[in-house]
Amino acid sequence: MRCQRCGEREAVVRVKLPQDTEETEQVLCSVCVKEMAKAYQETACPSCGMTRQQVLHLRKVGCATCYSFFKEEVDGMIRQFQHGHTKHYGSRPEEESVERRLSQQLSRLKEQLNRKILSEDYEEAEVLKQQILNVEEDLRHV
Amino acid sequence: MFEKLLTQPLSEKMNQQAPYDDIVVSTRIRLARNVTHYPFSTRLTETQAAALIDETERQLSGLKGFQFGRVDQVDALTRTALVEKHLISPALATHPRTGLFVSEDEQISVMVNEEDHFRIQTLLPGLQLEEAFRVAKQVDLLISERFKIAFDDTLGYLTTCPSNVGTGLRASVMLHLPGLVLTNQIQGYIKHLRQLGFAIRGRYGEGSDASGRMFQLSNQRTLGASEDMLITDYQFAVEALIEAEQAARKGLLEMYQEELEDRLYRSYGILRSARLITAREATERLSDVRLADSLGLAVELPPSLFHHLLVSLQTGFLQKHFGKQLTSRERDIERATVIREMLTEQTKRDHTQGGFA
Repeated sequence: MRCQRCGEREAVVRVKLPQDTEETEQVLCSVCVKEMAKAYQETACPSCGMTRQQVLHLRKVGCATCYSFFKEEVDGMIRQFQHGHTKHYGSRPEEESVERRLSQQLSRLKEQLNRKILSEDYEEAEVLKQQILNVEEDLRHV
Repeated sequence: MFEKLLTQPLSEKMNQQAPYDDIVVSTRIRLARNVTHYPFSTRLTETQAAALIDETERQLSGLKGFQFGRVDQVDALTRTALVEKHLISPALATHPRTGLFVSEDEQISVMVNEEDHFRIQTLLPGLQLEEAFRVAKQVDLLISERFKIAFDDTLGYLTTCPSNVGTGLRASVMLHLPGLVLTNQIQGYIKHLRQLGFAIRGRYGEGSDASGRMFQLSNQRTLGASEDMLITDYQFAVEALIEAEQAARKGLLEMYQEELEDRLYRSYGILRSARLITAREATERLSDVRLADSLGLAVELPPSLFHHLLVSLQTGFLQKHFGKQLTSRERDIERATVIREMLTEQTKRDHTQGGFA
């Protein structure tokens, strides 16, 4: 049987191809299989340029994109490092600190106060004023 | 700014009494974080690394009570001393283009351009995992308000090495385990803890031996559980080790009281009279004397002084103290002198306070 890649040399191996290619299997000659393997190893992350080989060798990635670009390899490492665990259950970066939450609350209240004063709604304004003082007091403790 | 940090081997905070300080020397919590707009350390160019440091300095300079310094711009001796004080990791000391934010009380530091862009670290005396995490998390929140942090919905915080992915949380406590070493039980515990997913190794991290019977226990897994759960699991492991150590000390005293007392008092005698002592022998003898004190023998080496000496007797710190490079013989002399002085001072202090405190 001839090699399906070069069509010249005799095929010696049947190779399972990476998932993103059209065919799933090919029969190849010894020269082509080496070339393909080399190209596969040298595929680089489009964002940082880290190659598949480097990821596997260092067991480290080059940027956040590597986690999706080399998903198969990295997932394997994660399973190994993390004793089979694959999902995050911890905190998230967009959670707010107390400081930020209070200062946002403060600016909201001040805006409302301005509006109440403009509409001459002084009773409501008095309530808001008290709330503002409370938040300002809390802010002093963080 | 580092000179000020290195005037004392222990910060005021580290000198305070703390839970389980009889066995647990210190607690450390570390969070690994990366920003999205730079490649990770493995692909970061020096120019990018310098830009990240500048950006960090600008963004975090507003933090109350924090100081910033360039670690790569100080001499090797200062860097070694910073490592010995556990303010920075050995890796940070060797990387080019690195920075350090540190709080005035030295409780919390942020290393810039270690293996990850940011390594937030809290260091407390004794066993104080929850408190250490609480403090680290506060700084983490402040950083994530100022930077876009590399995060994935499924995998959590993305780190340079997938061994830190998820929470990026590594807890590690330093334990003084003479009981388990002297009763030859330590290897069994090391093996057992490894099977349970904890790493336990000698004092200065990977590859170092367990001289002075100091061990560092840390969690390996950072993914698949919330920070609170990881800490709870970890706390169980630490408590199991503490109980085993307490039992071993009690057993030793019951079975071999004379032999043990003889050995410990001899060590005290050596430390009080030696004129030359290597770092290795010093840590072992100090470990003996600390054990003697905790068993109620008539010697005084409180946990804080023990920790103080462990840091100040290290090669880098000793030389920093004398302000110059010392030969190994000179170091042995200085080391012996420092120990004699500190122990004498401690005895005096005890007398003025009326003996056993």
